[in-house]
Amino acid sequence: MENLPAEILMNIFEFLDVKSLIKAMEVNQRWNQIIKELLTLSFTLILCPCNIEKVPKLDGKFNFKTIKILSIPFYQENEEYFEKILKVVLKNRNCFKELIVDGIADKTVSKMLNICTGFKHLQVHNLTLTDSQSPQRRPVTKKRKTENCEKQKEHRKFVNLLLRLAELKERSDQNVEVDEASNSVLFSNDLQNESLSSSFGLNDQNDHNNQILGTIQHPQSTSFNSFESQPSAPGQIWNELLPDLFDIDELDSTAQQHTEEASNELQEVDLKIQEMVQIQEVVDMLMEIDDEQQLSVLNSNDVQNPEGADSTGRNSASLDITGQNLDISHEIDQFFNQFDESNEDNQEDDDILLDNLPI
Amino acid sequence: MQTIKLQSSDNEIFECDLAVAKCSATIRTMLEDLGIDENSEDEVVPLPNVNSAILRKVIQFCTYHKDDPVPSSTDDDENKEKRTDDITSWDADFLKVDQGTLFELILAANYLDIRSLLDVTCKTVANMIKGKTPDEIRKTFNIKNDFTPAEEEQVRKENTWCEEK
Repeated sequence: MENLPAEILMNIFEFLDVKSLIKAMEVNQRWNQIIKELLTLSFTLILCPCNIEKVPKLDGKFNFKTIKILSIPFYQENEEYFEKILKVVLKNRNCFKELIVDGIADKTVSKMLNICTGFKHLQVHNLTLTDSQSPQRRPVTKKRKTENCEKQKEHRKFVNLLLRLAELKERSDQNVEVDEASNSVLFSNDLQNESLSSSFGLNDQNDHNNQILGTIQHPQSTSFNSFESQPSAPGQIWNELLPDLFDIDELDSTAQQHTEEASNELQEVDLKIQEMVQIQEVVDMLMEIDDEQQLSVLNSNDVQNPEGADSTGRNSASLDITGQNLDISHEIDQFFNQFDESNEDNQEDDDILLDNLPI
Repeated sequence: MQTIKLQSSDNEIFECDLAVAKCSATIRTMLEDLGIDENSEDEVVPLPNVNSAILRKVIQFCTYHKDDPVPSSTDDDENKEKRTDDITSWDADFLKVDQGTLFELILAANYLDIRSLLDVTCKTVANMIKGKTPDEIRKTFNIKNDFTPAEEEQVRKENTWCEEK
């Protein structure tokens, strides 16, 4: 018997029931090793809550094929016993390839599950999330139920996030060649919402967010080259990820606040531009009037004083004629002085605005 | 009836039906590889790993089971529960031999690739193991215990999970 090759011994052991197989493991080291290797091939251990009446009889009921999935019940009435069994199983963990545990809410199982997850070779599956209708489960208190719900919610959120990350990573890897034009989006009226949406990391498909962002009304079709959206692929990733990472309500309120502030600032700039346009028009008109009046005065001086015009008389005449306009020019100068003082910080922006004014 | 000659490791030649010999997948392959067809009368198939006593038993087994349906090897059969209580009385009587012969039959069945013989011999050995303590198993098969007392205790502790409450 000792000379039989391992292949033959495995053939023989395949016909043994669990109890005989475990006993055979104690015969000698060779048998022990062969059986462990045999079990490591495909052995699933299921730990699930079960009534004592439903405890399967190990003796004579299982053989190698059936113990590939071995269900070991744990007793709610006797956690210590279950813990003891599980500890022994874990010590003999090389026999097991897969562990399925039901009842994560249970304190003991949860503790054991944490231990099990430390073993890389052991695939641990928790059935609680998929099978939560076990009638033998311990009565759940309201507090415990709330905690469990929160934990499951966090867990699902985390799992979804990981799945989405993996999916997006795969997608972004495929989209290596990103159109550069899409990386630099001009801040026009049409693209403004999209750009802001990218900046805030909000999904375009989120109608609620778009509704908020859609309240931005830019007064001019001015191009602000300094505004660039996020590159499309990362922006897309953030668009899809951020709703999971942050509270969407909080993001909505923040976005709305920023939108209102931006809108107010733009309106102020618009008003200033309009005032400047009006003032410039008045100045131009006055300059034209002034030139015409000066010409007429000069002409009249030539008529009244054909010998030679007195510059003092001309000036005085001019002052007399344009006395009303001088008051207006003073107001204009005063306005510009005030405007310059109030916009020292934004001087550069104002220059840009002035350069772009259609005058 | 077409026959074929099989030569054992101790050079004894057995003439048997071709259909019986073809119960062995190994012999079938050898016939194909050596180009031995039904018309080859003087060709001998050497079986160096099987002695005459065991080859005689093998031929006896195959002659009795030559008309049995060929067992399929689908996944369903692989996953089917392997029972040991389905040995026929003829097979049980056939395998009432000493352990040495039984193990040699297992080896011969494995070498000749006769699945039905391998299964029934392994079942027989499994039945000899079932229900016995490790010490009884050792005594049955004359196996030496090479565990140290500490190792033995450790293995026993590891396996207590299997003990019924």
